[in-house]
Amino acid sequence: MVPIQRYVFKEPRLPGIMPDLELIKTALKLKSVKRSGWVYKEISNPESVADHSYGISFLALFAPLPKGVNRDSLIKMALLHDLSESNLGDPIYETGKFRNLKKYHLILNDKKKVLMDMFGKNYPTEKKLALDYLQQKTPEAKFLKELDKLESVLQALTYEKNYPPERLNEFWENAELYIKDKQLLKFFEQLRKERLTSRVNSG
Amino acid sequence: MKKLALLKQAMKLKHLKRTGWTHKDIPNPESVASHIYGVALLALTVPLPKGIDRDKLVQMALVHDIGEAKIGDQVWERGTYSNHHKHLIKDEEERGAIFTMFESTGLDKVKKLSLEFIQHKSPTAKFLKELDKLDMVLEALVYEERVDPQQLNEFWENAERYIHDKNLIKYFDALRKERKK
Repeated sequence: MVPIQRYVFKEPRLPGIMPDLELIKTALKLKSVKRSGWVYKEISNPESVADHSYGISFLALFAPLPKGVNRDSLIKMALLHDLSESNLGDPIYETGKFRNLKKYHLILNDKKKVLMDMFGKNYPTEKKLALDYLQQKTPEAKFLKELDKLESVLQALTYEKNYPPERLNEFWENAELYIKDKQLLKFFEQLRKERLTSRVNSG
Repeated sequence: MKKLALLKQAMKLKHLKRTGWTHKDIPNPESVASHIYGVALLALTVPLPKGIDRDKLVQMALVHDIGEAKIGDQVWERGTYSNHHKHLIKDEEERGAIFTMFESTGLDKVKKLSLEFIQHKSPTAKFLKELDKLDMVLEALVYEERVDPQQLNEFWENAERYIHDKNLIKYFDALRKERKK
């Protein structure tokens, strides 16, 4: 488990002349934030948070939806779901089946502060979607969390072609805790099967 | 599962580096997937001209380069010069790639959006092209902290040819000013 570390909340930026352009530039910093989960596992040249955000947004566009989930809101939420990481980096609070609750609450709080600061009074709808995701209460937020986990095993499967698969076991264990939707479970099961087959073939 | 195959192909874009930057020897350049994220984020946040539907624009942004998972990121123009012949061939290959990738997936609506972008005729497709170029210069500005800005002039020259929307021009000018500092 990664040691507990309080993430330094960076100085709030001075409001620029064009707050919308400032927000866009901050968001695009996600292109250069590496996903910590892979970094800790020493995957070389791992994907960025922007790559991951693309992946989850594509899933939001593509997946069969449960009742009560609005696709357009889901896609927007997906594009915004890791926005605060442009300031905080990608902090980790859980590994496999273990969640560090204390750390989780600290991170959640930091993320909220960052979002409030980033959006200010602009983009009320988008701000709400980003905050909703952190709260995990709306149907979109809950379903997106499942997509987030499905996305991570899709990526794990790619990395496992070049590394011993055991190294990434925890990502599969973690995803299993979250994926409940019956359609998504079908995809998950299929990916798990593929994982086992390729291990048998290579092992 | 045809759908899973499409999904995996879409994810390949994370591992495809943007050719424009690799040609310029930018170390560790962004992937096509990261670029798509940039364009989609712009689609979500910029002011829209009349008649453009944001939801459609965002969806189109997410699939606008999907054919590149099969044909790679082919460059057919640089700065103010474009190779027409190369462009036509690339479009044709891309169209074929899209048809193959979406076959029997039941995702016809999404397929249509990616084809609409390539045709470059609808107002949504044209506006998205402007966002595509805006994302490019936003990224150029980041790289210019690492390499000689002169080296990336052609990206600014190229973007200038495309960006016409009055709100986007404001952004473009603000970025250009920042660049000169």
